[in-house]
This record gives sequence, C-alpha cells and structure tokens, in this order.
Amino acid sequence: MSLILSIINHQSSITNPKDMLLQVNDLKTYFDTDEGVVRAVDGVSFGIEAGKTLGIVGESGCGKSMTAYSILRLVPQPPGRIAGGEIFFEDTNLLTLPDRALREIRGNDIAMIFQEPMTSLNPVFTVGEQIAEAVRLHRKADRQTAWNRSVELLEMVGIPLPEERAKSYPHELSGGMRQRAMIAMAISCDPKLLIADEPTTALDVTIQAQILDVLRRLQDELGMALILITHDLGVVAEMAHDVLVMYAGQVVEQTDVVTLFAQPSHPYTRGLLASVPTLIMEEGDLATIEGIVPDPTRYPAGCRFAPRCDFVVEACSEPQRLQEAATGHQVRCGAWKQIIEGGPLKTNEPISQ
Amino acid sequence: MNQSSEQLLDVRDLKKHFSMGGGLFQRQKPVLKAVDGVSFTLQRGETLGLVGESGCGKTTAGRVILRLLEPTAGTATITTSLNGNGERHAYDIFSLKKEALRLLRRQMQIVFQDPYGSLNPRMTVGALLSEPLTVHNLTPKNELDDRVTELLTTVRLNPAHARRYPHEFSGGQRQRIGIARALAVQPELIIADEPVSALDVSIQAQIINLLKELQEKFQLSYLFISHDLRVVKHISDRVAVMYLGKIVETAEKHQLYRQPLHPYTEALLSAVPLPDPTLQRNRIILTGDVPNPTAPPPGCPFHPRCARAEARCKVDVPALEDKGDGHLVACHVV
Repeated sequence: MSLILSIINHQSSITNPKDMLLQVNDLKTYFDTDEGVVRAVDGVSFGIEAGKTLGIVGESGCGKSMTAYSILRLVPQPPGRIAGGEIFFEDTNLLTLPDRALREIRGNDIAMIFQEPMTSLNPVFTVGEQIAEAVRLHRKADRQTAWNRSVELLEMVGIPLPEERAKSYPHELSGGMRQRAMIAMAISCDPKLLIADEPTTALDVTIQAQILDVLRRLQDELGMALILITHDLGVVAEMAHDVLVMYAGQVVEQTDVVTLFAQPSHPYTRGLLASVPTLIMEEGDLATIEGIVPDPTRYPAGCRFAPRCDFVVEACSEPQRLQEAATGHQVRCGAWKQIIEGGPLKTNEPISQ
Repeated sequence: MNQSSEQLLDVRDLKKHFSMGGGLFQRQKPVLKAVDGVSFTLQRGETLGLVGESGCGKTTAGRVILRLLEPTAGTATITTSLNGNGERHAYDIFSLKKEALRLLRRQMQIVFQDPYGSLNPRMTVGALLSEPLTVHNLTPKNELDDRVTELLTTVRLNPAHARRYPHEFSGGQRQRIGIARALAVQPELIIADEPVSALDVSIQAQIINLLKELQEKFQLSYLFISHDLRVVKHISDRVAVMYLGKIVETAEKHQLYRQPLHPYTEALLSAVPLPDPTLQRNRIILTGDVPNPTAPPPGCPFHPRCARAEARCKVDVPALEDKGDGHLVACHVV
C-alpha cells in the first residue's frame, strides 16, 4: 500500500520538464562523516519557470544551501556526494552531464552569488579585471571589449562612477558594493537562472534594500529566473513568487507566496511565521518553536518535525509524504487540515521539551 | 516594563576616538570617532534599544560604559549600591578606581553576540557559572552547586548539564549559558550586544522571551544593542537610533516606530522587509554607503544620503532637540 502511494506521489510530483526552466526531482545530497551519513538534502523536488523567483527558506542546517550547491554540482566531494535524483535544466540532466559540458552551463546559463562576496572575489585583481575575465572566458571577447562590458555591467548594478570603480580592488569596496560587483559578474553572460545564496544576510538593512532592488530590476530587464535562498521571511515575502520551506533536509511546504503567508499549513511554517518579530505586530511574547533541529545523522524515523511539534498524533511516527492541500500547495503533514481548522497555533499541552 | 521613573544610568556627551595606524610618513594619524557625543538615560527596569547599522558606534558605546574601553570624553553616572547594603548612590563610572570598579562590575554585566567566543571552552558550565560567584565572594563554597543549579533552572537549562562543556551545546543553549553567567552576580544593568543576531529565528524568539521574563523577575535594566529593528521593537521601551557615532533620534518605542521624524530613521524603517507579500510599500531606498568614519562629512553626518538636505545641513551639526514627549531628534529640517 505504502509502495503504491509513494509511486503515485512520485509520479504526480514530476512535472513535464519542458514546462520548467529547472526541474529538480527527488534530489539527495549526502555527506559521509565520522558520525555517520548526514542527509543534508533528502528527496527534494521542485521546479522553477523562466523569469520567476523561487524562495527557499529554512533555518541553518535545513539543507537549503546544499540544494543550491547541488544544482551546479558544487558540493565538495568527498565528503559530499549526490546520492540520487535528477536535475533538468531545460532538457539536460545536470547530474549526468560530463564536467566539461557542465562548465559551459555554469556561468553562462546558470550563475550563482554567495553570502560573503569577499570570499568569492580574488583580492589581487581589480573588480573590473575579474568581471572582464568572466566575459572573456564565456564570450570569447577580446580584452578591450571585455573591459568595456565590465564597466557597463558595473553601471547596470548601480555602482557610481563605474569606470573608476572597475579599477578598485575588492578590499577598497564596501560590503554592498562588493555584492553589486559579484552580481555584475554573475549577470555578465545573461544567465537564464541566477542562484543567490543569502545574498543580503551579511549586509545592513538599508544596503539590503538596495541590493534587493538591483536584483528585482535586473530580473525585469534580463528576464532571468531567480532562486533566492534566505532565512528571512520578510525577504521572501517581498521577492518571491513561489516558496519552498525546508526542514531537516526535506521540503515541508511548497506553494505560491501569497498562499504561504495567508494560509501556512505545516506546523513548522506556522511556528516560523509566528516567531518572527515584525514591525506591525503587537506586543506580547513571541511564539516559539521549542527544542532544536534534530541531529542530521539521526533523523527521527517518522515525521522529522514531530519532536518539536505541538500537534503530534500517532500517525506522526510514520514518515510523512507531501500532500496536496490545494492545487500547487503541498504540505508534508498528515494533519494539516485539522491544524488549519483547529485555530490556535499552540495547544495547551506541548508534547515535547 | 518601567514602572518607577528612577534613573539608573545617565550618559552625557560620551566620546570614544581611536587613533588609527597611519602611514610612516603621515604626520597626522587619522582619528576614528567611533562614538562622538552620545547622551542618553536609562531608567531602572527599562530597556533602551540602541540601533544602528554596522560601524555606527553602538557596540563601542556599550563597551565604554562598561569600561571595557576607556572613554575619550564624557561622563556616565550610575545610581547603584556598591557595598551591597542596598543604599544607592550616584557613581561616576569613568572615575572609579580599581576596587570600586571591581564592585561596580557586579552591577553591570554584558551578554555578547557570540556566546561561543565568550565562554572558555576548557571550563565546564558549572565552573563558568561558579567563577563570577567566587571572584565576587558572593556564595560560600558549599553552596556553589546549589546556586549553579538555580541559575541553570532560571535560564531553562537542565541542571545536570553543569558538567558539560560549551561545545556540547547548541547556539541557543550557549546564549542561555551566557545569560546565566551575567545573572550570576545579580546585576542591575545588563548590556546585551546583539544577543540574538547569530541565532535562527525560532531560537531567537526563545531567547527574547527569556530576556523579557528575566527582566520582570529580577527588575533588570537592559541596554539592548542591535541592528535588527524588529527585535528592538519587540523588546525595548525606548529606542535610540545611532548614525556615524551620534544619536540622531530617541523616542518611546511606539512613537518612534509610528512616527519616525529623522529622515535616517524613516529610511531605516522603510528598508525592513515585512512578512506580508500583499503589502505595497513606498520604500525609501537610500543611495550610497555610510561615509568613512575617519573622514565624516561636515555638518549633519547624514546629509550626503539625505533626500531632504538643505544648505545649512552641510555646515551646521544639528543638536538633539526635544520635539515633545521626550521625542528627541537631531535634524535641521524636521
């Protein structure tokens, strides 16, 4: 019975890859450590359409960054390995692609930016040289053309005096300017997909607003899709069309952004939303999710959120599969219906400590 | 919450300047004015949120008040009891000498952002919590274990964990240990420097709730330093906004968040992402970066990024002025 169910579920979760710019099916990324196998990404499926923004949210260690790294096969091997699944970019399965062919896609069709731009920029070259290098490698342009393009890109990301700034070394730029330079490099080849891993987490809030603004504008101008990995639900609300909420290596909820905030259906999503202090909420204690994230080498056999969940029923000792709560709204919880109908976020008797 | 209006801390015109390395042939070493004339008061039982972006001097201000750094100028007066007989007197923090300063440290404690960096990895939690008790002669040896158990229970940790080492705990649990250590000496003032910034949101909420609960239980006063306006709104009674070493606006929390007067506060608030995808906002996006603090602009430090700047903003430094109900703003235009 459960086998049939899982097959049905498996099939229904696979959309025709041709609809999607990127389609990830049942991705598994594991790490072999002394303590055992860390299932960082454990059966993640999602798709993203051209030009759209997908937000992946979750707390540290939930597997959101490793999902992104797996797409470009940037997971350090060993100890990491992609243990299963398929990742279709247009019609190509990136996981079976030879390294040389993958290098053609990286930087050209799919680009990535990281949280700390200083670690991804080379300190001994000027930012202009580094962007020009990317242009020359991917576009086979001559030096002068590449340099001109690099100045043009710096202007596109809103760096004032781009011609002078191109001659600066990374340490001469502020954090926000460095992140702009990284974005300029990432968009140098008009990628169809940009993966941004916590691009504004290290930045101050006024600078964050600038960078998000740049990303939004570039997306409009270039029509690229964006995967935005963040722990900040506010950023997701402002930027994303669709959202993936991850917990302990799995997707626990997946829907469009309006539905996610209007009708969060997984207890983890609901807890997460309630625990964020906002500028508009009223006083009182913040709701909390008690306990801590489970040890990734020893996930509970059943629902992975059960030890911290206030709604535990007997069925939670079984592994939970993603259920269709509505068209395009999937929830990994057997009790989602009772939870959204049941009103209060917290019951009086917390099951766990 | 603040019931009594008794004053605990009065900081006036606090300055901390650092002289920078400078080159071999540079005649004059550049001076970084990290804190440049900051004044505020803190009532007993109150939480004052000190917000600002990186490099605005909020952390330095906290450290100078604790005398972890020596001030360049200014005064800080704390009204507290040094000898433990309950009689409170006003003391000038910056003129206290060795022994008196040691006694004062009992009354002012700090909670750091990175609890792991502030806990000695070779000491068990029990030893970490006993240390301040022994240093200040607060607890006889035979009662130490009981007191440690009490402290761990207060911050909702398992007393059996006293035998464990800091690395065996998660980030949130370590921050609880950091808080327990600050509480050990029963201080009146806790300066919390970005205490939840390194934590995940669900854990953040646990720590914020704990801090609020402890404040009520022990009548603590907090100087809560943070860059996160959402967290500050949640925990503070009053908020002071810093920019380039100066306080640009101070007000009661609701007042400040509902009606920010300084253009910088306004921009800062409008930059905070809100978890509501249906909201349409007119966002003020500031241009440019915070200026280099070794060469701050003349006049109002915010004028190069301010949309409302006038000619005099480039010349005169605006003073903090009361616009009513203790809402202080340093701006020529409002």
